[in-house]
Amino acid sequence: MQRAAAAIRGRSKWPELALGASVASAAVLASMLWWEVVVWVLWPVAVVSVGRHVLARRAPAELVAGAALLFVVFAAIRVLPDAVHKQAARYRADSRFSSFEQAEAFEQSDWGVNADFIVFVRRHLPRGDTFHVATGPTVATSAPQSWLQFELVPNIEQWGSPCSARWVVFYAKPVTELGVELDRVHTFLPGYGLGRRRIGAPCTS
Amino acid sequence: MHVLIGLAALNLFFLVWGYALLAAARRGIRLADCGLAFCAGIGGLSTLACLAAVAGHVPGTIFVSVASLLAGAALVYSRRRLLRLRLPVRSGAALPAVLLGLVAACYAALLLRDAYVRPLVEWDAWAIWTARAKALVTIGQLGGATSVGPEPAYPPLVPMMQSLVFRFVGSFNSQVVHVEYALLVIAFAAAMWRLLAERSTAIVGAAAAFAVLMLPALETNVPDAQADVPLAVFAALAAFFLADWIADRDRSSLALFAVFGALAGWTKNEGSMLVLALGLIAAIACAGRRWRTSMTALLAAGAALLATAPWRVWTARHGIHVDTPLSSGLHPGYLRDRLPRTGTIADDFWQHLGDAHAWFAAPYLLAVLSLVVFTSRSKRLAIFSAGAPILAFALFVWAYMIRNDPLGLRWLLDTSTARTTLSIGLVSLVLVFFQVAALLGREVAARALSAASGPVQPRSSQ
Repeated sequence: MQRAAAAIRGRSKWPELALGASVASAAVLASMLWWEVVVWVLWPVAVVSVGRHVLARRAPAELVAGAALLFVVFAAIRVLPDAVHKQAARYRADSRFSSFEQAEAFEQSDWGVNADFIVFVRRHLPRGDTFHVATGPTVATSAPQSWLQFELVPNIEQWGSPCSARWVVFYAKPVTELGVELDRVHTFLPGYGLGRRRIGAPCTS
Repeated sequence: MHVLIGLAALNLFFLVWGYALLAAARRGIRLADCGLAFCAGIGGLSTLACLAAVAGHVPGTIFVSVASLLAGAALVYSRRRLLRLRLPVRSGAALPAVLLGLVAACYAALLLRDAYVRPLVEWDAWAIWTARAKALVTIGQLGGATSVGPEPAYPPLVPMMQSLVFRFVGSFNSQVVHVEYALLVIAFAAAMWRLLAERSTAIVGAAAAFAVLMLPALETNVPDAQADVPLAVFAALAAFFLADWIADRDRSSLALFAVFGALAGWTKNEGSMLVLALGLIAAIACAGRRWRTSMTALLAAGAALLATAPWRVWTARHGIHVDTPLSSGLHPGYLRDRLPRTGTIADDFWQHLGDAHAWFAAPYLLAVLSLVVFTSRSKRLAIFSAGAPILAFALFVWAYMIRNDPLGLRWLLDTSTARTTLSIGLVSLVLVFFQVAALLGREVAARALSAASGPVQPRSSQ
């Protein structure tokens, strides 16, 4: 009975409902097409609502609190367009990779690390063996070591001396320069390779 | 598809553990608390996994799933009468709050959209945190994982959280880990809305949530997938609940301070310093009353610090030490030699924290509001709110002062201050909102909005 009455009431108000729905749809469409409109609508709404809040109070302490709230809301609205543009730009830049492997390879290249060489090392290094990264004087940062460690886990990198590692990764450094005796060498490019330290051979490097 | 299902399952488990922690702290199970529950759960489940790892077993997907389902079932059964799945609706000031909420929700969607495809860009992310997370999965033991990358003494909560992501999505997808950071910040904003609306009105809560999401200093750090954002969130929630305890003497708030303090301690070593600063300043703020009140705050901070003891014992047993020479840092001679560095460090810190654009002038607002609260409402709350960031600032400057970095102080400051000051800044902003809520509090709001909104429900009934 009540449901029927509500339905009749609803039907009798259809012009208002249709108008309201049209206005809401237009507002949603407008905010999608012109993002900035949302910001400009937010400003007066924030002013009116917080102003109403502040003026409804009489004590100075409450006025100060209301003013502080108003300030923070305004500051947040002010950075909104910039933040949205930044997010959109970031998404455009970040979404160009088809996989996380591709994204990692790009970042490695961005840090000046040879991503193809890392793939090569991963293919030849036995799982679980330790390794040391020997870099040449042209390498200015520890990015190659860190990215190699990132991609080669569970193999653990040994810092300091190559004598504590089973394998030595030569990164922009000729195999002969290190002075470590090797019994197996995989070469990727001149100066880029992977060598297994001979067990029992003296190591003083 | 497997990635999405795995992510959904893991985040559901985070929520279950979060609600379990809230229930343990005597907060009912309410849908409106889902943001707070997520913040507690992401840290809580990761910490439980860390404790299992310290005990010698790094938990896998099946272990986490079964434990979470059991915890969820036990929670629902034991608290079935306290379940409230309806969101509290209050008509007063609802429209602007809804509008701000809608804009915040749209922005949160943009944040999540980018987090899903974001590559691992930041140095420490691939050199330490995510590399260690991969090691936790592939090596399967904490000892091996701490050998990966520099700084083995960094607490393992963040790598453990990322390793759970890897386990649930079934690959070492270094892009998807960013989703958890975005979700954590969104959940934090939702938690702020809920907690402040509970103390004051919906518009204060909505403004806080909106401001948190828009905050430039936080926004630049969220996509980095490091430990500073989780640390800042846990520390800010710990500060909020301690302020809440000072204002209301609610034991549940004190318990939640200890919970979030412990999570901050498991996230980064700076977290322990922040908990110490919060506990000390709360004890000082409450010193005028009975000594037992001061001791309660200190004991809660002590409990939070004690919760990180398994990690400290484990690192000591394995010969792993923090880089910062803490014992030397208490020696007067050592301090005297390094005193000239203090100005440079404090100046650099203040350049970040005092940036009015990056922090919406939170430190300045905090100073003004503390003064107002001191003269008009609660001296204890004002002392705590003003003192906590100042003491944290001083402790951070001290930690930088005594540290010996091989690449020099300037390099250390340039590469880390923007991140490490994040927690102090967020604590300041949260305390700004807490004081605003205290000044525009429930009784005041009821008086102002009585005509429009009708009677306001008591806090416990929401």
